[in-house]
Amino acid sequence: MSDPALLFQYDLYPNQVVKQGKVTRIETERGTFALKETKLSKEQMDFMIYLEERFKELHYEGYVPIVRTKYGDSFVLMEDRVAYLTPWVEEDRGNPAQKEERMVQTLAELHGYTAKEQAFSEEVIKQSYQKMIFLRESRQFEMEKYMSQVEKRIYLSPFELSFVSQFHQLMKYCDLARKRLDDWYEQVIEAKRYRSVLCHGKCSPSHFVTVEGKGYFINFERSVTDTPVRDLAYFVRSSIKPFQYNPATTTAHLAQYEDQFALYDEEKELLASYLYFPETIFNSVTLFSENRQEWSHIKHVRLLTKKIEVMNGISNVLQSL
Amino acid sequence: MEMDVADLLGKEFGFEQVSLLDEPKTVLTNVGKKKLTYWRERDLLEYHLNFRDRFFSQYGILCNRMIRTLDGDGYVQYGDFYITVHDLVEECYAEDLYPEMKGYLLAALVGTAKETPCSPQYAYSSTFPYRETLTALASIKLLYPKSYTLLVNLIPEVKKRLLVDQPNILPPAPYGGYRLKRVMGQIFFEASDAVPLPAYKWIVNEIQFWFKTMETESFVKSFSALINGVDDEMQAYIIQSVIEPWEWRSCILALQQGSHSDQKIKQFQEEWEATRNIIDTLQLSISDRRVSYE
Repeated sequence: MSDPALLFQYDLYPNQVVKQGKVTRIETERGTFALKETKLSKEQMDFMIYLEERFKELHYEGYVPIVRTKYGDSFVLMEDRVAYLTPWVEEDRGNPAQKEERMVQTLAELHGYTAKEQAFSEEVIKQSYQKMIFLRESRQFEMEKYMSQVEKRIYLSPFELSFVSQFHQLMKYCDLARKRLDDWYEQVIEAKRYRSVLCHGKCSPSHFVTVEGKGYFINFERSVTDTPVRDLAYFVRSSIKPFQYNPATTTAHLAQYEDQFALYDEEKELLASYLYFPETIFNSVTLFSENRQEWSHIKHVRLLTKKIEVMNGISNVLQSL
Repeated sequence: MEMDVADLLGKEFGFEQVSLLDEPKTVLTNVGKKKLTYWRERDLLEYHLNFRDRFFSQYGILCNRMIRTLDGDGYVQYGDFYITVHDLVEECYAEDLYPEMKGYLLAALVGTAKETPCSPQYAYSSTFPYRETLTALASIKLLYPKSYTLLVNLIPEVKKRLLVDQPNILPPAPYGGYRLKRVMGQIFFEASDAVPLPAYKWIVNEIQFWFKTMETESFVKSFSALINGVDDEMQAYIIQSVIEPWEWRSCILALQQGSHSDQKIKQFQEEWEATRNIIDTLQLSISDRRVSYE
């Protein structure tokens, strides 16, 4: 479906259309809108519709709502994608640090509004624990394999050299992640409680806008019901600025979050375990090996170095958590 | 009275401006011209509403769906009527559709019709009423003996074209009187507001029309696109309906109702011949209580 045919579904006749990253900004007589074309499964679309209904019920206002078509549809199906429209939210040009503070508060609000104690089942917890161990060990094994391949070479590329020089530290992080996961498992079995919240799924500053002091999440495409730790770990990783990192900022963010939505002790262990596991660094290695994006070597090196720096920053914070 | 409609539409649909135009059932709003449909039967309205929503959401073809009210409803009540609001699309689709698109459009209608619940009053049977037709045939024996003999002599051929006691559940669909239009470069299917038609009327008539008006190669392409666009179950029912001697039944019923003429018999003979040619061209067959398409 062409863009004009798509906008016909909304009775929108644009004065100006500007592509901005993954969204298209559409200015019309009836206001300015953001059009997003993406790939979503039916389940993801249904979940986003469910979320809006739930937010309305809860009177939660920290999100930008989807504009329905004139026929009442939330999404317009295209050949291999779907499109949806939201009002365009013009962000305040404020201080990034203030934005993060507002974001962590809004995240705590989102989790607080949607928190639900789950019926405790030792079997379910055990299965999640074992699954997590299995997934992490498989990932670790892939990295060890990669390491042993690289080590056989006489000359290493800058990327390989960076990875090799950090490898032992990464394995230490893996051990710490496992230890904190074991602690979580023990504590959760003892406390006999487990709660879930509505997780945004991609909780980074790029999916959050502030307007006149209020904060709104955008893009709930990856939202799921899960432990609050999932969002919190994503937020911590995405908010750390490599090479200019101040551990006090993250500590303050976590304290702010907990002022509104206090984590259980076992959830703190789970958060530490999530953060210690160097998944993002492993992803950089996979990205480099596959190189589907056809990036230059130096771009891969920069990304890896950045991820390592973030990981070291996280480690600093975790020592006090 | 008319002002009431404009006020009602403004209030329920959130249009900032609504004014009635000279063209019947047409209003001008702040988001363009809209067409109003007045429905007496709510069942029929809801059938059309569901049909058009599914048609677009499952097959991506734009059509004259019902614009929603602020509360998300597809219609508003106005006295004894229900009013629905639609896009007014003025540009006709002038070109002939390419063969595959004709087949896809029909397949989309079959698929949508299959999924759309239909009020019992429109749930026509698509099963060929052989015994009932024989009874009707007996009733014209004395009235039109020559035509009767012609029709009786065809019974062995008729039987070859039947899957006796095998029900056909091809769904009815609101196919009659549709118009193809164009909006923003896309095809816009403007369904009529009529009651749904029995399947043998809408599907078989359309296939016969294709055969009359298209080159053989294009006709085969359209039919393949139709068959490939529906599930296995619907494929079998479509083939069964094409083979079944509906033209024989129509002729008998017309004679029974007293509309005999040489012209009617000539028309029947042409239709009979055309169906035979369609069956040969598409290599359709019935054997061992199964239909096939080569």
